[in-house]
Amino acid sequence: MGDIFSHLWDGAIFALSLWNILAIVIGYAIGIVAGAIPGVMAVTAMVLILPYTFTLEPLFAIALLMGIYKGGAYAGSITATLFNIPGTPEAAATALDSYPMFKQGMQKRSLEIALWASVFGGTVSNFLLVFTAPPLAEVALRLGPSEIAALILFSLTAVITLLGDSRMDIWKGFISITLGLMLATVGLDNMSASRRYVFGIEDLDNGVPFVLTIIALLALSEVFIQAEKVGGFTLGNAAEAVSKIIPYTWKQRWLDLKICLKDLIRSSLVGSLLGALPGIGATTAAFVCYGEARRSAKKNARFGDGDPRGIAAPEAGNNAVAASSLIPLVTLGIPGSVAAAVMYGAFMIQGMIPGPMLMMEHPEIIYGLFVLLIVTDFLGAFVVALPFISVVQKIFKNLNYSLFFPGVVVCCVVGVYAEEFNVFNLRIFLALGFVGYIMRKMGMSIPPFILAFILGPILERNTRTALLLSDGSPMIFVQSPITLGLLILAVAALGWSLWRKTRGGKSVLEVPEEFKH
Amino acid sequence: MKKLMAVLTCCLALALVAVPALAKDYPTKPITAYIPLSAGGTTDVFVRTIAPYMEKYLGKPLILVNKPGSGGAVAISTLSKAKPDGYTFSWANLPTLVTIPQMRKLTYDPKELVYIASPMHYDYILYVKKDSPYNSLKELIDFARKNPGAVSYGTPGLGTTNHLGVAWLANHEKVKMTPIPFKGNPKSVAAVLGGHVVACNTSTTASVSAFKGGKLKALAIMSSTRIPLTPDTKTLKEMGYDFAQFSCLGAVFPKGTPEAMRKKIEEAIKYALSQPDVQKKAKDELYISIDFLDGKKYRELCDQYWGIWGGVLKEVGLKKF
Repeated sequence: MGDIFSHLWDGAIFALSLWNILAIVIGYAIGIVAGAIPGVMAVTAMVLILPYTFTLEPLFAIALLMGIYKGGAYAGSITATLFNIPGTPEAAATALDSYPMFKQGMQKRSLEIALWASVFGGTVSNFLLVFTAPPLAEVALRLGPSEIAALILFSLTAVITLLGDSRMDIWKGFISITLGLMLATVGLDNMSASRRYVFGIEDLDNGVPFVLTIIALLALSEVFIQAEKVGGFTLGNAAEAVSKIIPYTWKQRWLDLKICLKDLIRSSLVGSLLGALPGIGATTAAFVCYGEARRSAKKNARFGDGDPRGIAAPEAGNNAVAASSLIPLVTLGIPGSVAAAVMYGAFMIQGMIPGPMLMMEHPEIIYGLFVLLIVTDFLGAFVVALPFISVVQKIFKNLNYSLFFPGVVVCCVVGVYAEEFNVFNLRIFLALGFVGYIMRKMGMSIPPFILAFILGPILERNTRTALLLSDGSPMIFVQSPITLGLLILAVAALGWSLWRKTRGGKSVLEVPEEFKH
Repeated sequence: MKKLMAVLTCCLALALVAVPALAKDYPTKPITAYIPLSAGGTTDVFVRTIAPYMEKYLGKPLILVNKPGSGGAVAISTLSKAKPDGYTFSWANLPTLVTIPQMRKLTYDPKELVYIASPMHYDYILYVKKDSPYNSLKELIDFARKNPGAVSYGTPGLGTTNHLGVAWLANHEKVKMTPIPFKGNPKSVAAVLGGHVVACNTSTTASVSAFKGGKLKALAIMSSTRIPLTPDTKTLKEMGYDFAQFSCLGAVFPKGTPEAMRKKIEEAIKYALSQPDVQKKAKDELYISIDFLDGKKYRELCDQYWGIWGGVLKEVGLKKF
């Protein structure tokens, strides 16, 4: 333990230069802007910047990317709160409560809860990364294909049962998930490279691009919905839409902390654990944490109607993923997420291969990175995020929606195009935007669709890998206690919610409006 | 009239001169080069390392564009539709020119492309976990013979040379080993470390960290020569197999690009490889082997491996074309 502290001290001396701190601030600012613009994701920004790090100093480059990563992880919640358009998919769960809270005139409160929850989750995860990385990595390695497949199945059923309370809602959630899984199968099959549902179109060989789908369904379809409202009756601006703005007092802050503390701690730990598993990602973590907060809350909770815990839990959860997804990278040299893969690239560009050897040979670099991570959350929140949200609030107070939404569409189109520089993608983008619009109109919720789309390929790959390993025998899914336990939980969650709904005749929880676009 | 004639003569003379001048002055503007893999991988970093020296030689910038996807086929497919004016070329991995075209229908014919040169080849190692009971390739194969299908090995994808190399070995020894495709080399190494598969065949870079950290045991070098990372590990050839897994990085122009331009880029690659800086980085940081092949040799090798890999693809049931 003392060893770690001395390494941290060396790392701090090595890393905390004015330049590196500047890199964090610049990175965080880029991340916030990228994350807040619907259509541009933090990872997109990281990928675009990566080639330019070739000529930068190692820690400056890594601090810059780290800042973007952390800034982006938080910033998705800004647009989620103000417009119900999550800037990043992991903020989709946050929108469920932060948008209703905003509509009640408490925009400062919802933006700040999201920010502080992000800082909390990020910090817990940073410290877990520093102190428990090797054992956590060991656990993550032990989870084989069958365990991962079962875990994903469990999270998908958890999301179904979380949305809505009537049987109808559960069926709609089920349809959403199925559609998401189906869309995920388009393209070259990722195990045997056979073509599936591409209709001879070569542009579809790579599948429907990930970022594009998310933006189309989360942002474009919401713009269509809002545009309809604007067309129907002239909706002036954000300030008019919100009747009055309620100030956020220190007393209220204290009360919110007391209400949310339990969820903050739980979500940070759950998020960190899920982050350490390769491929699970922040979106899943956010939904699982939201679900857990909702499940454990008392009956009088106002989830879906602006409950502070509904903002704090998913934000703490998805930010906790940021640092812990680096655990497999620094301890084993295996990138566990897309962002971690970009970081891997950044190390490679600097002539270092991340992994146990780098930890042994150059602890000052790894621990320097840890110190920078810890600093990033606080520095970013106070120096960048707080001024940013106050500016954003001022701008959007006087912004006309009829001007804003075309702007969102432009950003989305640019973001989609910048991902692969392919015009064909814009057509898919538009088509999926309409699909999302129709789904919302029919009362189907979008988040399960997106989660299924993200997790579909991982579910498929792990299921097939497990079956390859067992030579086709499905027994592999009941042999490991973890797999079996997760599968039982998945079935139980579904069965329980269906049973609960019929038992009382009337729903126990109130049906939140936001699920029923 | 005289004046007009003079102007016309001048124009004609200029036009006559202009044709060879185009090739002689080449390049007169920046050249676009596709990288078939995503930013930050070994290939990408290597290309970005040699690019500044190529620029110095050519006197014009290289615009590097990452075009990952479909195992590298997206980049080649885009390239094949580009104008053959010498201002667009693509880096290419051997599978996009040799194995993938035999596995699925593509929009390009690799044999029509203009092969510029190959700067490096990849090295491949067969690993098992450090605490596994097998200390040599022979022990692993003996075990596989007694327990058909019990030996699984990780590969970075079905039909990759990593897969085909071990498939050749298993076929040659008449044993059954199960290939498990993962998403890339790092995941396949992780599966060995987690004990989910018995062995993995990976390119060097992805395994450096885990190997040096003492978590892996190298059983054989699948490629043709020994490598500095594991100096004591024998190659398949040294063990008596008449086989080596081969894959290299090369550069290709679209069909119909003039020879003079090809030659110029070939020289630029050769010049960049001769830099001590590049050689040091390749050896010490990227763990790859610089191995220059000119356009002719590069093409011959691709043709040769079209047959070799085609045969293995047929044996494992993946050859469709």
